[in-house]
Amino acid sequence: MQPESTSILERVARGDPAAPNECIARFSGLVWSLARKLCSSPSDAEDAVQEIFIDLWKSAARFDASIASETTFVAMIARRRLIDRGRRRMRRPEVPQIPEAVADPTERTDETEAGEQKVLAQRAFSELRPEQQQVLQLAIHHGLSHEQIATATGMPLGTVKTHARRGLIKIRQILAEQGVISPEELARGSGDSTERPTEGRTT
Amino acid sequence: MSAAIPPSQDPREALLERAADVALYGGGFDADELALAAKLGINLEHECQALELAAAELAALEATRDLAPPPARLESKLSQLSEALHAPNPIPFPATQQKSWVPGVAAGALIGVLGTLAVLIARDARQPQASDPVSFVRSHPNAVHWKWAGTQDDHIVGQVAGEAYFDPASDEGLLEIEGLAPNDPAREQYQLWIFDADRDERYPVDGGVFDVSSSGRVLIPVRAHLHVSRPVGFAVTVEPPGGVVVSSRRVALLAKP
Repeated sequence: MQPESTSILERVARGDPAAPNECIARFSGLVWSLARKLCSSPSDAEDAVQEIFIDLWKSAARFDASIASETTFVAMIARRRLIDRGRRRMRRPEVPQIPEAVADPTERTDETEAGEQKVLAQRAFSELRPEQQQVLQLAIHHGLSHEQIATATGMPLGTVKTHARRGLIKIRQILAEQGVISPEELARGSGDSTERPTEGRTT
Repeated sequence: MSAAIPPSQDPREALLERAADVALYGGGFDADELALAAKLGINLEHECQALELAAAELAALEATRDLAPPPARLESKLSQLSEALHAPNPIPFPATQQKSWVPGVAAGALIGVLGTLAVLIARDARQPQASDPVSFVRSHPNAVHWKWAGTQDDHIVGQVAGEAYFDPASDEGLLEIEGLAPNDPAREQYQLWIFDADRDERYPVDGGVFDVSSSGRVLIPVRAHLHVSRPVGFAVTVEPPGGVVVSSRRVALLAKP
């Protein structure tokens, strides 16, 4: 595990007065991008971004650099809030047009600074089978349910679920091998660092 | 999100599938699933969290492909939010701790904490259709409604009466108020705050500003753009025109069960 050089979240948790604004400067683009993909409108996305930052600041003390990077932690908090909002309103995002072919992430132009972690994640994703890539793209990036993916792709529901699970497990294995995330640390009892802020696991 | 495991499916596979399902779509495990996982020696929470981190990593990867700065107004709102949330020594709002809400005491308890989410609500938001309590309750049968209690603030004139109505299903509400002094909108406005049990109780949701033009009974429609899932109380404060992010701490009216 390679902790990022400056842990803004740890400084937020310690009460560093400058840290929250640095947190906004560093992660607002990421959070905005995630929100735009999963919210029904720009105004909904703006509300969601604000809720996410409130969650983020409240959850900052649970960040553990030995388990995941700050970027991953922020994305996880953001996804949870976006999923919570979707569930609360009892609706899924509109089914988007399914791309004719799943784009190869390694072929895309990226004008942002490509960090090592991003490259590793790209490699991990490219190692998945095309069907697994397609299912995970539709589930994670477009917010489609298993059933919607089955309808959109023509795959049987059970196959969709299998691709989703095996794809995620594969990503997890690859990223763990590369030290991007550390499930071992998670298993050693640091689970609280990823506790859901707004929703218990047990129903 | 939980689902019974079909008898034909391998229980271990089914549980791991559920973990992936929760990691992708949220929700949780039911007691039977947790019990079965324990029996099979599977740490379901751990499995799910590890998969959730993997999903977050992929989400971040995709998001950074078309990274764009948020709108300037959103960045401004975030800065205001940060300023309000991280103000020194916020005093907790005692909505769930206090058995009774005594005017004055509650006003003191609200000091310094009414502010955070002002920017989240449109001031001139779409208004609910209902124009009086009867029709509002008729069109929002699940709305909560609680009587107002006045504080010692000098904006209270005479006997306070009326109720605050709010429907979490539609995020629409109606304020029926009697006993609040007319305000000069050029100098000050009233601002509604809504306390939500699903949010940090220190940070109520702003319900927007409103004016009172006569000392009699007034009806003010409310629509929150930010979802309030479980309202537990309402407060009306006196603020500068346009409302505020950090409250001036002048609480005039309170309503709770």
